[in-house]
Parts: sequence; structure tokens; C-alpha cells
Amino acid sequence: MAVFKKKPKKNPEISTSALPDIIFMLLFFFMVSTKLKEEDVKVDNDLPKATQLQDLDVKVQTMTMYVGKPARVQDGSDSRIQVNDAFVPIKSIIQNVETKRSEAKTSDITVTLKIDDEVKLGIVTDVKMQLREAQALKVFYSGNKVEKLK
Amino acid sequence: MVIDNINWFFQIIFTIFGISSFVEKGIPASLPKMRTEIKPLEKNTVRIFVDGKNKIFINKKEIILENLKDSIVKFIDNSDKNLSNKQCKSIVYLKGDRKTKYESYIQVLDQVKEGYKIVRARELGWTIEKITTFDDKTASEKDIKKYKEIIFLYPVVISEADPTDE
Repeated sequence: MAVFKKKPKKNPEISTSALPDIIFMLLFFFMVSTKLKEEDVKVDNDLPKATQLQDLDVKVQTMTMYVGKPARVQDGSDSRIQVNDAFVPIKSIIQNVETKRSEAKTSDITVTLKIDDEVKLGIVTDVKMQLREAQALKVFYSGNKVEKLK
Repeated sequence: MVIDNINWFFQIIFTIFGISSFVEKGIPASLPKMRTEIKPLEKNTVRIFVDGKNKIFINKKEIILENLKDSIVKFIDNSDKNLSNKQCKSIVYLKGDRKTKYESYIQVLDQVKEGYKIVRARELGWTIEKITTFDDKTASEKDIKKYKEIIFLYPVVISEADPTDE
């Protein structure tokens, strides 16, 4: 009588040929769903260099304000303020802060000031005075980190 | 084959995290409320003024940017540290002219912060490197406690004065 020898069973290998497909799918998903930065900066914006910079807390609600010379000649040559893709007159800062507050549903917002290093302090002071009047007292002066000032 | 695919995964994961971990850097500050009056001790205040030609004056004496942090260190050491009295906080008054360049102003602010950092590091017995890279998520409990104490003892109080002052 023939003895049937049992062959040792080998685990079949998992096919990995579909992995690249999955990865491409993920890649395309992220490519499609990623939102690009909406704001188009319309002013010159070279941030000042400094050494003692800290990271902005990612959890806080922020409002970004750009100040600088307009990038296009037809917008004039004086420093201007840009909030949300548009130039705003200095008097409407309070209103902009209020709008942002109602959007964010909190009164505790940090204003990120992205100010060009060539800007004169006069307009910066005006902006700060407006922010004080709007009770937006937390500001964050954006800068570029360097190891040593030249 | 499998290893190749794992590499793919890593590349994508790192790219995603790399993009999302971009944080803005800057100097946080808090503006004073409208119409507030603090009367600190004269000994505990220092007045820094940056004029329209970007020259720096500390208590009306001209100084260059490189020496500013040493002056701040000296000022902190000389001020009273009786913390039971709120008026004894050392305060740096920073003021600029309307024609001052924003860059110079930020650099002064930066140097004042560095002065404070030097004092804090010295009092803790830490190196500048250690205090710079201090992160309360990774530091030991003892270090966090020490760091909090030192912040309490040497708070950075910078008052950005109104242009209408003086």
C-alpha cells in the first residue's frame, strides 16, 4: 500500500503587487484634497531677521496681517496693510478683528504681524494702536530665524 | 520587494508630516490695554529709544546693537527683586520714532530677549544651548520646575510705549 507522504504546507506569500496602487491612490487623494494657501500676498514681505524667535502655538486662533510696500506699482508706493487678500484702510482694522472673532467663535485671537523689514515704525504703531482699541492684545511679530545677527 | 514598498510608505508619510509640521516663527508680545497706568520704581526701568536714523539709545546714552544685551544683563542685575511688591518688576520701555525701520526695532526687541535669556541661563546654571532648546514636552520634571521658577523670578516685561509718551 502506498503511503501518502504529507507534504509540509507552505504559507503562500502575500502578493505585494497591489501596494503601489494603494500608495498612488493615497497620493492622489492627498493631492486633490490638499488646500493650498489661499492668501495672495500683495505686499513686499521680507520678514526681519532675529535670533530669539519662538514657535507660534498651533492651537491658537490667529489672524494674519501683512504690512509692506505694495508689490505692484499701481497700488502706490506707501506701505499698506493687507488682511485676507485685500488692502484695508487703517481704520477698518477693528472691524476686521471683530469679523475674525465671530468667525473663530472666540474673542481670544492672536494677531500675526507679518511686516516687511523696510517698513517704517509709524504705520506699525498705528496698527498696534488699532489693535489695542480692538482689545486684540496678543500679537506675534513674525520673523526669520538666524543664528547670528550680522 | 517588500522592503521597497515599505520605503514608499515612509517617503509619503514623511512628506505629509514634513509639510504639516511647518510652524511660524516670531516674537510673541502683548500690547498694553488702553489707558493703563503702571508706576514702577525708577531703578527698575530702563528706557530704550530707537531714533529715526536707527540709532539706539539706552537711558539717553547711545549704544550699538552688539552691546545692548550686555546692558540689559547689567540692568536686570541692578534692579530690585522684591517680588512681594508688584511695582518692583523690572520693565524695559521700548520706544521708536515713526521713521525708525521696523527691522532695527525688531532687532532691539530680539537683543533684549537675549539679555534675559543670558541671565536666566546663568541663574539656572545651564548653558545657553540648553535653555534655547528647552522644551517642556521633553524636559525632565525637575528642569520644568526650575524653569518655571526662573521665569517667575525674571519675567520679561517689555512695554512698547505709545508714540505720544514723553
